[in-house]
Amino acid sequence: MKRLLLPLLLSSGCATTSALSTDWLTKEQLTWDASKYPDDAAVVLYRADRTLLETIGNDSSEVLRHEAIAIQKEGGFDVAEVRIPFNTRQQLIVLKARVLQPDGTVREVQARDVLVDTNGKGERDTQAKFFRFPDLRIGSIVEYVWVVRTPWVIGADDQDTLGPWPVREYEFELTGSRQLVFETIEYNSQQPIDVTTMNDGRHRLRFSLKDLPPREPEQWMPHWTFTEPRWAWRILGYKASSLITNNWFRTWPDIVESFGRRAWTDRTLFSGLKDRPDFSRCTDARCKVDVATNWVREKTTTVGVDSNREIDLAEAWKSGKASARERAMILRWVLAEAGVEAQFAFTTAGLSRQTAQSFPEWDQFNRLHVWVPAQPSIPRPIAIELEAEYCKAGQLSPQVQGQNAFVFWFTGGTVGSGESHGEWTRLDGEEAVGNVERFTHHARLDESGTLFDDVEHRGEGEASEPLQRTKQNTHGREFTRLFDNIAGQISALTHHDKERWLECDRLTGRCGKAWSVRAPRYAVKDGKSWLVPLTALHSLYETFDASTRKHDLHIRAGAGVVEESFELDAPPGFHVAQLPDTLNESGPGVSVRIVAERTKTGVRLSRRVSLSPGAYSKETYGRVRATFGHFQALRNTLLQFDPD
Amino acid sequence: MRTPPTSPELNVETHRYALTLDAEGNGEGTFRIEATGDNATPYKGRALFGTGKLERWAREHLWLHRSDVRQARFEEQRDFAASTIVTGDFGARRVFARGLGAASLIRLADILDGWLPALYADRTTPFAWRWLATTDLEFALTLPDNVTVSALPENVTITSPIGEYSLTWTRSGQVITATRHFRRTRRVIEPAQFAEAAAFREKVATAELNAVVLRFGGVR
Repeated sequence: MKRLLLPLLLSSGCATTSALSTDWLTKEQLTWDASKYPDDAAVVLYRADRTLLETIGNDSSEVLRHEAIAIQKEGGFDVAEVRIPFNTRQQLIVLKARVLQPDGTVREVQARDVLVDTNGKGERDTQAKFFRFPDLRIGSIVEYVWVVRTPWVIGADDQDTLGPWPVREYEFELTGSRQLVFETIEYNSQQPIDVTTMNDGRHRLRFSLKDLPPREPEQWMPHWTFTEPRWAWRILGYKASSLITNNWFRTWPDIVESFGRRAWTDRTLFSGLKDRPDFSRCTDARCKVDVATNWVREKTTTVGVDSNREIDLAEAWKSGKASARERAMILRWVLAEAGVEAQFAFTTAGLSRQTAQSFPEWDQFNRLHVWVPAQPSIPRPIAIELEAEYCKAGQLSPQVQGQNAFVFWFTGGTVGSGESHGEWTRLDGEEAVGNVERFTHHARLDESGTLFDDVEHRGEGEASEPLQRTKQNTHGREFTRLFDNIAGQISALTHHDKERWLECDRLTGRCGKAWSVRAPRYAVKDGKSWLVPLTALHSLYETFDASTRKHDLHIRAGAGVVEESFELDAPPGFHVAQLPDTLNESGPGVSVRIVAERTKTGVRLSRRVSLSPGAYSKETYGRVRATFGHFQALRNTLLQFDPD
Repeated sequence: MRTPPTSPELNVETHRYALTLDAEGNGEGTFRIEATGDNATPYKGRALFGTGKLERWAREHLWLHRSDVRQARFEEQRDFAASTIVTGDFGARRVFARGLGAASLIRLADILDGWLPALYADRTTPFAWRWLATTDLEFALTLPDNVTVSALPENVTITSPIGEYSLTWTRSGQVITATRHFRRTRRVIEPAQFAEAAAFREKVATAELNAVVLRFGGVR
């Protein structure tokens, strides 16, 4: 990332003024009661997001951000850097910033303090300017206002997160020409959006909030869109006259039209991509779908690439790394070229953000699939997931299985014309390989109480991905060092060896590793008996350790199954005195099974825990934790081996 | 001219945990952490930094596994005070291994963070502590009334050029207390001394694997 000093930005960028108010806040607005925020490093005293849409004369939009943050502790110094995102066709027309020190002095930020990031140069690339507040102290207040002008009318927007700090006052305001027809939605709030018509006929929408608490992260906490009060708006249409209204973002097909038009008609996107799948053995569409899907999966990987990245497709292809969106665009294109009717299906991964199907909005989508409608040799539609590496055509990962998806297609075929069409459907595909972790132990205890344990750890589906990444990134001594922690969870005396990888394949979603441990003094002699801990079992450290819960549980990543089997041979001449009880217990989103049985030489213990993806109210947390605790508790159980 | 080396006596971190356990090995209690010198730096830093998540932060600083801090607070100290003190209330789960019969087991190795690094024979670079320091833990466990305790493990003192370690056990009624002490006496351990360091660590690990056997009376 390259940052350049841009000394003339303020003088040149601020030559134009904004029609939005950019006045500093008053002294009263900048006074706060620190005792209300005893352990917060910073408090947002005020934040405003204002948008002005102008259609008289030149079409334009102005977006303003005004924020004042009080720094209470050193952790609040992070607010020193402010980022202003915009692309090369937009203009920063106002940037005001000042620091109010605890002693009452006020210092405005000078042009020399402004940095520019020139990373993105394309029309759709997001550029950003940064500036850094100087000389911050405990008790300082930073205040800034920026306005970005866009030379067209922005058609939709939604609220960004208010961040982790408590917010004392938040205001949103949208002002638009009377020709524009809006629709708004608010989430997680009972505060109504106030709509007024101004004297000049323009419409103004306002939304204000007070005293929002800080965000406190928890394991499996909901995405912030589920918890923070927020707004979204879009323009439904433009009134060309009192009789005629041109639709803009009225319907879902309108929302995806821009993307659809590019993906269907812009040949330049694909012109550099010379490779094609080998369809020579295919005689029907179904075969072509499978061949093309496997071709994309084999030639590219999504590991480390943002799902919705969209760079030059030939460049992505050449690098061997492509986003799910890039993969989908390439796959649909080559299928269409091969005469297979192929469309797109947009969806939102389960619980990845709050959505409203009643409010068409582009930002709700974060997963793009190729959708192959029914046609000769394909009796039922096929959804092709391109995010998970292990999904074949028609298989869906748990993140998208059962989600509502918007299937759309474009008709017309030439640049500048055509129309998008679409309908909602439910993604019901073949289950992909599940997210399962399996631990298998073959262990024995010798006469001195030393444990010898041969262990295999296999991951399937999502659980195979971290193993695959580790395999790719660790070699030689680094690999054997991975097992230090595993051995260390048994005791500092435990040694490991015979570390090796088992079969790993990203396309089938399977990977595993194996090792052996020797743990001296593992068992404790108690009279004539051995007391045998079970600390050789896998530790799911910190899962549901917290005794209380502030948010609902949203189990998404990490949902799946952990299975463990532990076969332990007793020292010669000993047998297990008592077995743990068999247990089958279920709670909200979690089920646990424990089975213990005697073997000819000792004991076999099996335990299994299953976490189902879903949203569970915080009131159920105690039951979830208690049920899961049974799985954990087995590791803390003590077996007793008595002499025969 | 060089900055004079600091000493283990100037950088001391002392934790005191007091837990009252139930029959399942779960407990509630209090903690107190006092740190001086370089060991106080992370605590002072947090006091100045502040993120609104003090309990979560405190939990990460306890040496006891599976603990959950309910409440934490910094004790008021004057500027440039010799020590920083954090106190609070906490809970812990599964402090002892629960037997299926009458016997259960407490081993410090199963529930406490280790203090000594693992130094492997294939390592070729020296190991360096950032400073010399002393760490102390006093861990008092109040057991349920129906529990009797086997003989406590023998007290141990282990000295080596790497450091000095001791572990003592005491009992008063239903309260057993483990006191663990480690004084780093050498800041840099050269590869040639790894075997010596490993031997020291092994003795310490052996001491922490010595068990207290608990026997439950009555119906469990």
